[in-house]
Amino acid sequence: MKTAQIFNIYRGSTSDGAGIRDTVFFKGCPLNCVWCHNPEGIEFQNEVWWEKGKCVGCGKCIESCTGNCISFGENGIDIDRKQCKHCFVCGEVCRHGAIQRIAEEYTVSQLCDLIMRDKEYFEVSGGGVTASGGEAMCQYEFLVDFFKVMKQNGINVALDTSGYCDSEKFKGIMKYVDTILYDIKVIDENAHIQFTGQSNKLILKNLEIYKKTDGCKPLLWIRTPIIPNMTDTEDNISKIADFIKKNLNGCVKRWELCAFNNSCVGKYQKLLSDWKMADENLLTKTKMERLVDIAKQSEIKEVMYSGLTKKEEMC
Amino acid sequence: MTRDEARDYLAEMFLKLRGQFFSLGGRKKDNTDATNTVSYLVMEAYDMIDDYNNLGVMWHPDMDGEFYEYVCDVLARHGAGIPSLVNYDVIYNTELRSGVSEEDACEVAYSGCQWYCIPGKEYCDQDTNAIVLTDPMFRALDEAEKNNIDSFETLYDIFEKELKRTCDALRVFKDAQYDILHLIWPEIVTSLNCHTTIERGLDITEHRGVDYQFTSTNILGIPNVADSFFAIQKQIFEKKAYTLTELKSALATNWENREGMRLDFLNEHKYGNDYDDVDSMYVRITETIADIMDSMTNNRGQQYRASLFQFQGHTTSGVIGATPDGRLAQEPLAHGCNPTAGRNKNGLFATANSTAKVDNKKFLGGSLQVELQPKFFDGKNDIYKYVENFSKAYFKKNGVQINLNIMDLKKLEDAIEHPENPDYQNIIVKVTGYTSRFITLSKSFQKEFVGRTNYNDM
Repeated sequence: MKTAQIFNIYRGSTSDGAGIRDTVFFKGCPLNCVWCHNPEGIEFQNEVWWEKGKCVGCGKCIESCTGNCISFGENGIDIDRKQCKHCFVCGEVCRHGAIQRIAEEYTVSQLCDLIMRDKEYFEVSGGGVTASGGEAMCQYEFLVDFFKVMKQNGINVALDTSGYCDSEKFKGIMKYVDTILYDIKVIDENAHIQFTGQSNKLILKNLEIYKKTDGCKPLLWIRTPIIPNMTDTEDNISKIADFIKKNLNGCVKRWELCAFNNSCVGKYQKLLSDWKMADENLLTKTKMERLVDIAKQSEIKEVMYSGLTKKEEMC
Repeated sequence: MTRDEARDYLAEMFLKLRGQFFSLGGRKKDNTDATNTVSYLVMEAYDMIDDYNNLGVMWHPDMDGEFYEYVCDVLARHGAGIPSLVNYDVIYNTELRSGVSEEDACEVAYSGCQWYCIPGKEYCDQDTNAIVLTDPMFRALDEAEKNNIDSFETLYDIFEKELKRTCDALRVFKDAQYDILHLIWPEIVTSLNCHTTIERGLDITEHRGVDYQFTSTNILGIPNVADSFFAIQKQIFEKKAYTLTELKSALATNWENREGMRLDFLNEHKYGNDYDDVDSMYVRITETIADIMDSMTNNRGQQYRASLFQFQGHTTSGVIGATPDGRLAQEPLAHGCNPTAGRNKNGLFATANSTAKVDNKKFLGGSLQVELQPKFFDGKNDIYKYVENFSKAYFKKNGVQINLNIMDLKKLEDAIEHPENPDYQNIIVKVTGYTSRFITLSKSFQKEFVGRTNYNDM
C-alpha cells in the first residue's frame, strides 16, 4: 500500500489557493533554500525534533535511544542525526511531548478520510485541498492516487510546487489538478544555485511544458518569495516579469509576491540548527508596492503582495 | 420616521437597556427569510455605538446574503462576539422535538446566552438548572472500585444508573419548586406580555400559565467526563497500566507524587481534536443524557431538555476534585461543549468538527466558543469573509451556535493586572453566551478566559 510521510496538515488555510483549504505538507525536498520556512520538511527520512520549553530534563529519551545518539548538551540535549536509527522510541517514552517525530505516515485512504471531514468549509468558500511540502511532486505515485480520490469526491485540487521535478511526472499530474501554485524564485541561474542549492533550468523548462498544454489548464498562479538581499531586487522581479510575458503569455491567473518573515525561527530551534536569517527584518510596504509595480510589466491582471510588512518611520 | 431616525432611536435604546437579548433573522411561517429593514437597522445601531450588547442572528440557508455578510463584517470588525451566530433550522427542530407545534416552532427566537424560546408562549426555565456530570462519574468510580469490576462497559452501566439518580433528584426538586413558585416569585410583567396568562387568569410560573413550560438543564463537564472515561478505558481496561484503586487514590490526593501517571492519563486522545475514538465517547455520553431526559417530564407534563452548555461553574476551582482526564483540582473544567482549555491541538476546524458530531437537535443549544487572536488574520484583508465561510460551514455540519471573539491576548493578560489602565476600560468580550466588559469579570473568570485555546496561526 502506498504511504507518504506528512509533516503537517493545515486545516483552514487561506494562503494556498482559492477559498478555505486544507494544505497537506509532504516531507522531503530536493531544494535547500536559505530562507526555508518549513525546514522540518527538507529531509525525506522522518526524524525527531525537540522542544526545549516542554523538556523537564528527565533523560528518558537518552536512556531509551537505540542508536546512542542523544546526549545532554549545553542548551538541553544534542541529537547526533547521523547515528539516529529512526526507531522513534525516544518520542514514545517522552510523556511531556518534548521530543517528537516530525512526520506521520499516511495511506491514501487515511489522508482522504481526514480531508473529507472539512468538505463543508471548502464548499461554502470555493476552497479545496492543496498539496505542499517539502516538494509534494517527490511523492508522485501517492499524489496521483490521492488527487484521483479527491476529484471523484468533487474536491478542488491545488498543487504547490517548486517546479523542480521530473518533466514527465509534471505532465502527468496536470490532468488531476485544478490550480498549480508555482514558485519562480530567481531567474539568474547562478543566484538560484547559490540560494536553493539547485539550478532553475528544470523549473523554467517545466513552465514551458505547461504552456504547450492547451487552454491554460490547470490554472496557474505564480508565487515569488521576496527575500531581503536575495530575491528582492528590482532586477530579479523585472526578469521574472519578462520571462512570464515571453513564455507564459496570458496563461498566468495571478502572481503573488510573498514577503519574508522570520516566524519560523522556532522550527530551526526545535531542529537544533542555526538559521542565518533568524534576525532578518521584515520588508517595508513601500518596497513591496514598488516590486508589485515592476511585476505588473508581466501584464498579469492580478499582481499582489502578501504577508507582514515592517512599520515605516515617519519623517 | 426616516431610516436614520429609526436607527438612532435603536442605538439610544441599546445604550440605556444594555444586557437585553435581541434576536434577528430566522424564518417566517411560510418558511421564507424573516430578515427585513429593521434587522439592518439593529445591526447598524450596534455598529455605531460599539457598546456591549447581546444580539443574536439566526442564520439559515435562505437568509439574505447581503445581510449575513454585513453581520459577519460587524462581528469581525468589533471583535467582541456581537452578535452570536445561531443556526435557526437546528433550534426550530429542537422545538419540534420538544413537542412544540409547527406554527409556534417557527417563532423560535434567540433569547439568552444560548437559549432559544417561543416568545410569549414559553416559560423559560433554563439556566437556573444544572447537573454537574462529574458527580455521577465519581460515584460510579467508587462503586466500580468497590465491586472490583473488570470491564469498561460495566463501569458505564453504573454511570448511567448514577446519572439517572442525579436527574431524578433534580426532578423531585423542580416539581416541589413548581408547586410554589407563583406564591413566592410570580413574574407579573412577563405574565402581562404573554399569550394565555390573562385569558386563563394564571401567572406564567403557574401550571399551564403558558403552553410551553419545559425544564431545561445545563450539563457541566461533559468533555471532562468523556476524556476521563476514554483515559480509563485505555489505561485501566485496555493497557492495564493502572488499577481503579490506584486511580482513586491518585484523584484523592490531587495526583500528588504521581505526575507520571497523571501524564499517562492526560496524554490519551482528548475531545476536541476530531479524533473519532474519544469524540464517540463524548457523543455516547450526550446520547445517554438525551435518552434519560427524553424519558422525564415535569409535573406540568412537559419535557426535560439538556443543554450542552454552562455559563458558569467551570471556573470554580478547587470545588470539583481532580478528574481522571489528568486534570488537577485547581484547573477549570471545560466550558460547555468546548474542549478543556489547552487540549485541542489540531486547530479550529478539528475542534468545530468534534462539537458538531453531536445530534444537536436533541439539545437546547451548545455553543462553540472561538477565541481568535488578531494575529490569526495578519496580512489578510478579508476577515469577515473567513468568519462568514467558517460559520456557514459549521452550520452545514449542524453546529448550533458560535460565539466568536477576536482579542489581543497580551492586552487581556495585562488588563487582569492593570484594570485601572484607561485603554482597558471598554474591552468587550463574549464570555460565554453573554457579553461583558472584561475588567468587570471576576479574576477567576478572567484567567479562564485568557487560558482558552487561542487560535493565532493561519
